[in-house]
Amino acid sequence: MGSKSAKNKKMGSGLEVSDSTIPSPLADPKASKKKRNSFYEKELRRLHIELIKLQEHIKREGSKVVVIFEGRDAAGKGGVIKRITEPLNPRVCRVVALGTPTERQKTQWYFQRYAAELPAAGEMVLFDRSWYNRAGVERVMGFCSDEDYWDFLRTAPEFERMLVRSGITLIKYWFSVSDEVQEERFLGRVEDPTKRWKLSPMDLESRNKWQQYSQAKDRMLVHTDIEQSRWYVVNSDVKKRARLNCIAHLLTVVPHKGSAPTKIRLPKRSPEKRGEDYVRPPLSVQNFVPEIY
Amino acid sequence: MNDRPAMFNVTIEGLQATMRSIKPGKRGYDSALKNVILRERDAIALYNQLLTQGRTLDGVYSFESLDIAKTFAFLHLKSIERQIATNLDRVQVFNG
Repeated sequence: MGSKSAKNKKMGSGLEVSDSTIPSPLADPKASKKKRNSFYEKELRRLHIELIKLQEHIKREGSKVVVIFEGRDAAGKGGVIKRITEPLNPRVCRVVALGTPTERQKTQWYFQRYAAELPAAGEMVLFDRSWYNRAGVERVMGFCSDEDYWDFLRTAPEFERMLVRSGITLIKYWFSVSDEVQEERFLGRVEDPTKRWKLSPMDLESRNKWQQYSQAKDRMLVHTDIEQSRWYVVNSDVKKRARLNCIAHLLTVVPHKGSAPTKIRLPKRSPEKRGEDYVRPPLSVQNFVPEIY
Repeated sequence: MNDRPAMFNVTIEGLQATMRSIKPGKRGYDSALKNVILRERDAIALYNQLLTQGRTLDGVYSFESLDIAKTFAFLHLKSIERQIATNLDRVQVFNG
């Protein structure tokens, strides 16, 4: 036990980082794929346990946490969201990925449909894209007026300050991917039938507007990085590295203490309660799924 | 001559930021052109530089595009707004 803790270093808010992470094999181009993968799996497992501690803290303290994931298409937002939700209870941690607004929603206050998704006490909501659509895709693709855009840049910080004052912890991540890596990932999506759904005609069109997106992103970060809710940029050219870095960072910025649920000893089942008053009906009366595997 | 674009001036005086567009040939165009800020990142860098040096922002700044000019004016005004919001927070939570 002593040697284990000696091998670990504590980060700002208590997240332990093992010595083996420095230098990280994921950052070492000479490291073998096997070494990188095994390191990734090990670290992810460790971070998952920390996430569970965070979940218990959120439940116990009735905290309200919002995490926003923004970035270009194929920047790796979905991947990190998946790794965060994987070990967590969907009743505590849920993902919000809103589609295009309905005609009715278009007439509402811009933040209304997002506000409806904000967490209650004891919940964490991960926004896979968010109200920042207005400062990114809507601006670049011309889906909003100039007036709407500037009004957004003005009101988003006000809106977020209100959220924070109401007790919400708000964290914003921008996933930064290079032009070349995005192109590679797009090609991967085109090739892979299980990933093709991720490519919309809009994504293809936005490929031609790289610079405009960059400008929109720069401006968005400048106007909306406020003390109450900071933007954090995740370098996401290497997916696995980005996932670990983002989760590790999230664990440091959301203050939490406590431990994962303690071990449970499964009590022996009382034999008298089993199979006395109950007879299973014949299997032929139930519709079984064919066992083709 | 006429195909030259308009410039956008932002005048900062204390809490105020005033915007003005100057068309080619109009008074002030040449001086605006001389000191024009072309890129948004330069506008942001200038703003941050003035802020970190603790210097007043008072003065006239010229920009090539309306968006860049607006960003500069916004940065100034939002910073004032932020100070007021922080002050409001402190006053609101003060309970003696």
